[in-house]
Amino acid sequence: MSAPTELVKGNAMVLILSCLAREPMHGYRIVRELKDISEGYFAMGEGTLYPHLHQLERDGFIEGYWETTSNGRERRMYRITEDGMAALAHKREEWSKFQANMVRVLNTAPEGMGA
Amino acid sequence: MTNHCDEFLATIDKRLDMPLDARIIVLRELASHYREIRDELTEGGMALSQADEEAVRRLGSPSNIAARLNAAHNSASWKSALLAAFPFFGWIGCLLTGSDHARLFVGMLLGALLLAGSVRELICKRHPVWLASWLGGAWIAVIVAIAHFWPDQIILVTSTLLFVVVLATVWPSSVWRWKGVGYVLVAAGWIWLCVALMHYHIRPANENMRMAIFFCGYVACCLAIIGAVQVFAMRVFGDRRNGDTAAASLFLFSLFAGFYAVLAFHARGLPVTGISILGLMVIAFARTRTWGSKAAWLASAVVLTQALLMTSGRSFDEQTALQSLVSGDNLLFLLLLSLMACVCILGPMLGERSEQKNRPAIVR
Repeated sequence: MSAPTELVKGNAMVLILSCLAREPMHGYRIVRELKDISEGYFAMGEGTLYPHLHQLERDGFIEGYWETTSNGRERRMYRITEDGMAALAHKREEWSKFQANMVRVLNTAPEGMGA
Repeated sequence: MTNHCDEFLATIDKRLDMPLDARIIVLRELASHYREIRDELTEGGMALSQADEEAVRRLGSPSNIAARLNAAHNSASWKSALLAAFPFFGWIGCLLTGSDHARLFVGMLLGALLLAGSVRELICKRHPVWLASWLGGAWIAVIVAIAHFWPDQIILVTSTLLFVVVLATVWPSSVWRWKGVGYVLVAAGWIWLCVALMHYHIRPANENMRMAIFFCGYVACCLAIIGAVQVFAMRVFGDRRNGDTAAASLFLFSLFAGFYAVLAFHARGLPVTGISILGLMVIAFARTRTWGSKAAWLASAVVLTQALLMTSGRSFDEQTALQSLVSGDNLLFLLLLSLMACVCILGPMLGERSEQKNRPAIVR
């Protein structure tokens, strides 16, 4: 089962920043990492990743540079900036609060409702 | 690379509207991504032709990707920026034409070209950056034509036409419908009341009341018309899935620059210099990336044109009520000028922010 497209699109920024906070990556690897870590739940449209990356670059949260691999292939790598780290920390806090409150509200509903 | 990928990249390239350096990065990056998928699939045992097809399928819809990349870059290519300024330079060409008849003919031809080009793009559901400026230019051409053929009915005909276009555009959208109707009702009410007072000699109890109605009518009409046009711009350019508020801003800027050129420069016999400055400003405005630099270009346009008006020392050939408002020393006009200028930037910028803010936190 994969996440609803709108949810992934709306949270693409935080998903991408989380990946890049570990190490610099290229677009293809970001898609693979998200899919692997979430066991296929975050299946992001591969081409639609780039508008998000370019937007994040314009906002100054990441920076891109070209790298040539040992077999002569070129890749555009992205690394997170200090502003990006700050934005990620802020989002993480926002998400923790959101998640805690969501669980609290959901736990008040009796199990099996609407089944 | 294979045919499928070439086709995919060619479709994206055709639809990208951004500076050349950014376009090259996008295409190189997508080609590199395609190769990564294809190689992974062939290493897994898939035939090359199948892997190629699958890689292109996984990249997604090229038009969708291009539209979203355009929105992310928020800046036009040189070609689009020059096309955006075309109405202004076409207008200069028209003014340089010899006789009045030839000028009228060339002007009508230019208006028809702008209108046809805009309608074609809208029918094909394409929204290039220059469409905003062409629509603005076509709109001004229609008004100038009405002013030529029905000078006595100019206010009634142009306002009615504006209201019909705004209502027809905003009605299908639940987001914009009632805002549009509200602005149109306020503007229509005041315009028709003022026209009735002017033309049909309806006399209120005293002259002060008549002047108060005119004054309030002028301010309320301008505010409501600016609001209605802004709602139209946001509906046409900014109300899409991958809404482009920069195009809405360019539409408002070119419309504002066009009206300003008609009122301030044309009436003083300075059309070529004034319109050239505004045409160049449209190119700069279309090429900028951030709201801050758009605001800086807008401020430069206002300062430059006001300086030109002040240093020229020219006066109007025929002083009319409308022209005297544009004389530069009129506080009310300067206030409205500043308001219109702000609307070109603030409206679309705040629209974009509020749209983001109104999304549920989970998908923001």
